[in-house]
Amino acid sequence: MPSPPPGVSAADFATALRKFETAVGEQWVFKSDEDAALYRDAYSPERDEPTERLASAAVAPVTVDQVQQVVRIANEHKIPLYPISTGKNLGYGGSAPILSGSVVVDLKRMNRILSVDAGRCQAIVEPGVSYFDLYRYIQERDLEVWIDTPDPGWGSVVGNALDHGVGYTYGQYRDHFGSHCGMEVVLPNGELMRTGMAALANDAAWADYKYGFGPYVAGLFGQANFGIVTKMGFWLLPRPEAYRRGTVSVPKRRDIVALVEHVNYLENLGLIGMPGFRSPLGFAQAREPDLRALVAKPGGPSDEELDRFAESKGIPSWSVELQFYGPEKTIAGSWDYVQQRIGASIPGARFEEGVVYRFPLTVEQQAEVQRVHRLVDIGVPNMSIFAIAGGRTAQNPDSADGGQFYFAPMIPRTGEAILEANRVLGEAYRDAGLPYNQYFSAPACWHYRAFIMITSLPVSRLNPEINRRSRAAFRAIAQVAAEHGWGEYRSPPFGVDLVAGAYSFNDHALRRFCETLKDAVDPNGIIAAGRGGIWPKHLRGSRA
Amino acid sequence: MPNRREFLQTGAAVSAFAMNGLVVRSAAATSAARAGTPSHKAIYDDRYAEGREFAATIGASGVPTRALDRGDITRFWYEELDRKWRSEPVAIAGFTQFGPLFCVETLAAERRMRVALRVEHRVEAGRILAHDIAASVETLALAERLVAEGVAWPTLMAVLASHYTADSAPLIKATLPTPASAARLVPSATDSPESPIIHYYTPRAEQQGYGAAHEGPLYTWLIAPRTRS
Repeated sequence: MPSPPPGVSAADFATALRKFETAVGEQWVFKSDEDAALYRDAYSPERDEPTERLASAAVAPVTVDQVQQVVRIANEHKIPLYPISTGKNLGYGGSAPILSGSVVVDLKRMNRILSVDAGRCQAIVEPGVSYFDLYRYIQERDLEVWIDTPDPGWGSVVGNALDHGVGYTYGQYRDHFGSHCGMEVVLPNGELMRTGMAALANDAAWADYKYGFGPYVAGLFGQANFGIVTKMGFWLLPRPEAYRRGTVSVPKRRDIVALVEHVNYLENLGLIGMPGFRSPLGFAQAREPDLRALVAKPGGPSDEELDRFAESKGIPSWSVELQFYGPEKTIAGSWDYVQQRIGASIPGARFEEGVVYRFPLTVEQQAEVQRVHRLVDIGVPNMSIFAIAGGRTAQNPDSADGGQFYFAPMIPRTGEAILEANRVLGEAYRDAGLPYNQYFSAPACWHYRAFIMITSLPVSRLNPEINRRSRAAFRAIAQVAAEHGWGEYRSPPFGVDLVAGAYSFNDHALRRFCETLKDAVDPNGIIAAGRGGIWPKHLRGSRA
Repeated sequence: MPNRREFLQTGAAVSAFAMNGLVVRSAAATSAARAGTPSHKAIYDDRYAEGREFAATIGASGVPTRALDRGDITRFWYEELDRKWRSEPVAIAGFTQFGPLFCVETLAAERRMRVALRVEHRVEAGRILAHDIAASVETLALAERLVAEGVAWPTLMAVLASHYTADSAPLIKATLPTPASAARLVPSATDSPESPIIHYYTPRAEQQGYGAAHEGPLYTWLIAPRTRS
């Protein structure tokens, strides 16, 4: 018999577990310590500490009706639930609840692909459907649509979207919540609700139009705790005729400003997919001791000093890899246009042709794509990212068996913001005693109207001191970021209150509004306490 | 689970081969070295000489082997394991970096399977390798015996991972040192020093511009079905 959740008597908990067993079948209620341990966050930075977030038990329904029964039972006995889809949210909590003692509602068994309509480029799926599952379904039927997949691809399509997860192709698709269309939700009272066109008695246009009529409430179910989502519609990409990559390099440090403006223009027009910024000069540190010395000198290098070094070695300061999808002639024309436009604007800009694929790929091309480890760019889920993760590092020398969590602030999509964020975050990391690639960090572009200056912080299963240092660094750096108007787009569980607290305009009006909704919709506070920094009334005093 | 007599016989068979200066390579020798059910498949990182030796030995025992794609488990999981595990739980052995182990371990946990053997191989000072083992009492005893007999450690690991017993007893931890082999866990074919794109999973050494971090420890492991109760 597991320990009951906080505030729940052992008798009530035992009764609730028995009722769960009646609802879903005895074998689908997991009560042993060994089973509950399977829901530990593999990357928890609180591992083996008193604050580690642990489930008391888990229940795995397979139908919507069973989810409704579980929620009603939980309401009756005030059992905190924590729904997960496939529970792969590594770096942001995994499958562990935010409130220790919660019963995980494991939705992996709800893994039906309800429809894929290649003509309308849409799918409707349950939470247990992974990107691999959806990809396999499409491949086996030779449907001419693509998915946009995150890295790695073993996670849930629904779960990733609900945590505002991201992918790699065109902006409207790689924003996974943004590309959803219509959802079904079990509300905290057990009632079933649908949004958008799915709310019609005849849901024939479920995944065709997001808004239906009236307020758009679907946003309340992402990174929040107002219900358990049991179905979602998604928009898919039509399979393009061809794919092309090209890389633009610019010589000077300040060229990043103009380069970003050009790339924004191209992406806002829909000419390119996700751009990949980087600093070749930054990578050159590995082989250039003079550059390392320049970077390490007191006060740091000036832009002019870095430019002189870059010029002497013929190394670009920045580059951006561009992705084009569409008819072969069209994307070749787009690449020509890029070269003309940027070549006429930034002196010394260089252009490098990348791969070109026509679809469907030949067997030889599939093997080649496998080798270059960039399957996500063409909508193919994979786990290759785990082939490069796990090496020992200076920050985590004891073992690779740890992981990381992420600090992911959103900054404006400008070159000036990159330079400013690097300056500010570099100082904040230095003050926290952790390294940061201060002069050369490039943003991630997953959410296409903003940059994410994401970095990972190390986690160890063996050395709690590493975890304490990482948590302290996160808190300190997030505080600095908030002072500059850079809020995080996701958070590990220990940081949700800090991150949510930074969105504090008008005395936390946003949080107070969400709490008002929470009290009205979920008065017993049974759904995902703490998610999104939203706590039920009886737990608000414990907010970190 | 082997009984005491079988276990002692197993140890004696291996010792005899090792004492004669032979590497445990033949199918007969390897199968004699381990009781229980053969693993369904063994995957390995063929960039490492030790990985190739592991595969040769466990393959000789009758366990089918498959090399990863530059350490990437995707195709194995997508083409083989996911389908297989949807139909039945079978034991999988491996000699990989941490990432593939983590993937299989996580996916196995969802199917209520367990890690029956987990060994981290770390280069210590000088030419000593430390093998941090978590295994059953019987497997640990076999490992100690093989080390004492001087069996090359990748071969030894193949013997340990080749078979499993449906045992849910807790794993015991121990550390065994062995002399380092010539390869010393260095990949024979290095990848490009620069990833094509910096990703949030990219090791910090690489994020910082200090080159790829492929020197991470290697693992021998065995994931197997639990005992049916």
